[in-house]
Amino acid sequence: MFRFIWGQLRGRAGRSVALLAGVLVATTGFVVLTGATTTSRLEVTGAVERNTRAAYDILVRPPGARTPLEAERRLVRPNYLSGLYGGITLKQYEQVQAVAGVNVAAPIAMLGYSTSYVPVSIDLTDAVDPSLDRQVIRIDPAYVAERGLSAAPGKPTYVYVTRRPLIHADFDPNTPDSARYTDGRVYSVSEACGPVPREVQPDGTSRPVCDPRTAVVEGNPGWSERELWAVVSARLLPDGRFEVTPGPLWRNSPLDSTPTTTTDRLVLEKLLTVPFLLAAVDPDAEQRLVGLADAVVDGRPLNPADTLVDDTPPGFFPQRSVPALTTNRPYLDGGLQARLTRLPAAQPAGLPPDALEKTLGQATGIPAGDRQVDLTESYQALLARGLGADGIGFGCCRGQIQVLAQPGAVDYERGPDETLRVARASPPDPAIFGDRNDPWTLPRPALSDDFGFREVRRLVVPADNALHSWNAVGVFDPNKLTGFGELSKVPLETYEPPTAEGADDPSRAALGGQPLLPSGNPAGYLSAPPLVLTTLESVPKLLEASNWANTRAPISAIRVRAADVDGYSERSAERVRLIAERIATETGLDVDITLGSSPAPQTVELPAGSFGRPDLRLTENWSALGVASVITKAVDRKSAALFLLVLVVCVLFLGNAVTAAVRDRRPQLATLSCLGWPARRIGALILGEVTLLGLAAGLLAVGLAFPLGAALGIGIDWRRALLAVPVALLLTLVAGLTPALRAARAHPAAALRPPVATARWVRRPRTLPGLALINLIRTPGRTLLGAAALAIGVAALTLVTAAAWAFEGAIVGSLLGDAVSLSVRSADAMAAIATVLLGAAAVADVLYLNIRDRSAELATLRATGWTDAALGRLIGYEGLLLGALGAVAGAGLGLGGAAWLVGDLPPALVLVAATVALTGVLVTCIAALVPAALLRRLPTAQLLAQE
Amino acid sequence: MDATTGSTVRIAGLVRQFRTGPERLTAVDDVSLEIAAGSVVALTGPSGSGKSTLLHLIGAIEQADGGTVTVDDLEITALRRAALSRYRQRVGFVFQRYHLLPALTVLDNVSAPVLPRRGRADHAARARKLLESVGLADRQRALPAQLSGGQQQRVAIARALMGEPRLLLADEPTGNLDSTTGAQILDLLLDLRDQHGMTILLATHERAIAARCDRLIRLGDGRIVEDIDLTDGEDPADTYDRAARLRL
Repeated sequence: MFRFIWGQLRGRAGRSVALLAGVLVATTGFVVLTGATTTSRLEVTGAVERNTRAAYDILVRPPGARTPLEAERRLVRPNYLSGLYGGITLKQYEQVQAVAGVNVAAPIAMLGYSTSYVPVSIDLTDAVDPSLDRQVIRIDPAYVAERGLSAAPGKPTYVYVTRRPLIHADFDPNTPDSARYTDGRVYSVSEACGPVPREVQPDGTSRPVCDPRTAVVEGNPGWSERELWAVVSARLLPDGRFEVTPGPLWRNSPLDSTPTTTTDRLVLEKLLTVPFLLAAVDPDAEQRLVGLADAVVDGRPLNPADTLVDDTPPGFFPQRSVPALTTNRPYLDGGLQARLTRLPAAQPAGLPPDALEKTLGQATGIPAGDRQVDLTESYQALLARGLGADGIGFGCCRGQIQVLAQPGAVDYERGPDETLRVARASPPDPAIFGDRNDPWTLPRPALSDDFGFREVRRLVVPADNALHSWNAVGVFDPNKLTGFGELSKVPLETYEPPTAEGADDPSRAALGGQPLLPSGNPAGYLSAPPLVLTTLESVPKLLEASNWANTRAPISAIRVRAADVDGYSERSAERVRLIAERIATETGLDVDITLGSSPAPQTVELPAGSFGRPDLRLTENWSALGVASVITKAVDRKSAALFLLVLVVCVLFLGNAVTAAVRDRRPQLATLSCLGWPARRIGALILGEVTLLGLAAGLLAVGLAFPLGAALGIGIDWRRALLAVPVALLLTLVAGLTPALRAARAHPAAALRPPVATARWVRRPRTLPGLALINLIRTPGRTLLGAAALAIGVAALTLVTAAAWAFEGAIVGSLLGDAVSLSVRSADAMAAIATVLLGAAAVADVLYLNIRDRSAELATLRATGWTDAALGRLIGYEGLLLGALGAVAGAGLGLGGAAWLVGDLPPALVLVAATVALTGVLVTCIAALVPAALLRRLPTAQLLAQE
Repeated sequence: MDATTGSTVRIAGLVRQFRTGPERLTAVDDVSLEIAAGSVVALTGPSGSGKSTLLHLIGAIEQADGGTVTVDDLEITALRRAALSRYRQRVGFVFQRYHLLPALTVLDNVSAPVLPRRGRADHAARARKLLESVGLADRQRALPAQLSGGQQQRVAIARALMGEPRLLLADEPTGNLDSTTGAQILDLLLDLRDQHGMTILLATHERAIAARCDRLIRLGDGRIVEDIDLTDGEDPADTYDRAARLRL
């Protein structure tokens, strides 16, 4: 039998080689294409694993902390901590710690915004006209934020520059009505003017230069830094230098007895009130979670035992402070713009306090330049002075915690297109940041006068006549904290600010192409991260007498990292899920699994501000939960679908080739049947032949798969390559079984029938395309087989495109999803394109077989005068029709699948499917050129002479 | 060229060889002859004598290895593929196995040679007229499989005439038919020659058919072994006597 089979194969070498080539193409295609889909899956899961490595795997928040919007969209909003002031008790924290599998449980207690001074320097030297005996430099400030879009104007500061001597008071609070001055004399001090410097006149008398800041009555009208105004004095010495009181503007106060100093440049140090979000953490847990202690760049880390201490200097007013770590990156966007005006005729010395503001305000001025001061640079300059503050505003770094502002969460109105419109909050109480009557609170920040989007509560720590503050014992660099993977980080990072990019051209243009950052308004939309950290240990003592309702439950959130989890995988996801379930059961808290999350851009409409910021349309990254799981499952489904499609195309391709080979041998098989061969022996002969060819093709495919895979950048290991042998055997057996059975059962007379039947119905071909259509209909099985192969290729390509689309839809366009779907596109598209090519090859094979079977007809047409071009056009039309049938069916199938996958049929997808279908038709037409070219080699005379 | 009497065929030193394994078989071996316009010439000889090959060479569906074939003033052995196709449009070919297109109706089979060309309405009218002339006007919509062998050959003849040929080549046109039907087909061919004015070359091994032609050329091993003018005034109807005389 084997010898007979071998003899058959050798005897019909051409057909055997053709069939071998068919099996080889199908098997190699199968091995390489399934390699591509596996590579794609590995790339995706690798990307998911790499990018979902998280600082923590579970986020535990107080019950009800999860907003309905978050729950509905399976998102966590950025600044998930904003608006969360306590709610978790220490006992619940201990319960979380005790859950089996919890590696780290790091609590964080948000306390609120503390205000601190950051001095900014304004160099006035060049604004001074040295030729003038006396002059006033007026500094009009604008507090700038939000990429310069918001500019809050403030009252001016006047610097009186005189060549006349100035004398300064040595104020004694015990004799408030008078003070001894540096000329040794005692002068009376009025309540409206205060113990201010006095200018010595040429006649020896002196006149006070009143300063509203020191006035007991009718001084500054409010308690916003925008409303503060001041008159500061400096003496211009004959040598061009200046005699000033060193230090910030605040220090240029008679309350201090600092001696004057002489400088080359006249630099005004103005103190800006900057809010810092204060939070309490467990230093040990934070070290294990994000490496807080390792991120300390100056001073020392926090100790868990650090708590409220009394650090009153000897003989000074009482002070209590909590040790804190402060950031070296304040994430402050903005600063101060100062417009300078020289008032040559203004002479404030001796002016009564009630006339001072009006007179100076009306004085004629000459523009003397502009100054821009960056707040971040100023803050970093403050840090550079070194730790060791001797008072708020007098060194680095300290902030008051007499009053803490606690802004709540943002409310959104939802637009019809799912856009989130930020709702304005009611204006906060002006005294929320402190009371003017409390000497230890600071003026409220200028930008807090802007419209707010958060309700602000006030947490008051009873002063008890003492200054409560945080005192920096160390500086940490947030960039050195270990955090999230690149594609999963920002919204869940505890110590990085949220950013929002312009979502439309006007917004992008307004922002200068930069992201919007927190404005410095605690009630503003974007909330800064906690940048000043103290210990959880300090909290009870600090707040025991406060008005805070959550004194007993100070913790706002607990970030939990599970043991033995490093990046997303099925196993780790299950592990984390179990831990999260236990935490939720045992504590009753809101628990979100953050492992496998990724930023998901949301569109937010931010209403205009009161200081110039226009309406903005922003894209903000929220955290989409469970993205990794969605991606992994989708990739698994997609890989399985592609795998199956490739397999089916290969079987179709092969089925066609084997069927044709068997059909080709019908007369011979009929002869064998007439000679008495039993049906099973004939079937075995056919199967034996195709199996032998399958084995040979499989072995060849093993050798071909490696170089082809390398050339296409597809990793194919030896196991997959060896798979070619059984695959080839299986494919040929499956493809050969039906024709073998049919051949075995066929009556010998069947061999006498023409290989290509007549059409089942009569239709007159009026044109070449009509004749082509009739020819296709004559071989319906073969036509459908070829069309199906192409259809599957086109459907695969459409589905791959849809899969990329589905990722965006399914995971709300998360960054991880976008990155992954990009990689999906390249690898899978390659596999799908190859499937289309295989489908086109199947069509070409069908055309070739048609030409072979109808060669006598074609020869007749040529003999009757048909040109080669006309015959080529006929085959071309057959290819076109076959291609169109396959491509349209494939596009339809692909669209149907896509609609199921995406749950929608967007017009763009229809366009993509149409393009893919068109490409399929084109590829088929090109493939049809090969069999059409064979027409020229038809042995016309031989065919026509055949009996 | 006489438009009413068909083409003149001149063959000079024509050679055609086939390779069969290591050997070369000379199917047509240095054949030279001239066929007058409007004549009906029978090519006879045993199987493999080169009858069909000679017809194929004249019909330009096979290429000569040597020599020339000139039809009217056109040397077809020097033509390129496109010109050969144009030439074939002017030659009618009838085959022993008819070679009808099984998927097309009788009418469409007749029209098939001109399908790629424009003017479909004219073509259909002409095809109908040709079917009438071959006696198949009532079978226009039939498929070839629904016709008898003689009817199929009539369709093939009508198809051969579709291009208004001046030269009709028929390769064993009656080979698959019984003698009566074969005689009818020859009658038809001769009638058509009279109607349309054609030169007819037909290969046959049937003595009765050959005896009714104007000229008989006997081939043997690719060479002309006998060339007999049959226009001797005898009654062509007495074909059996004539055939016997001619050792057909």
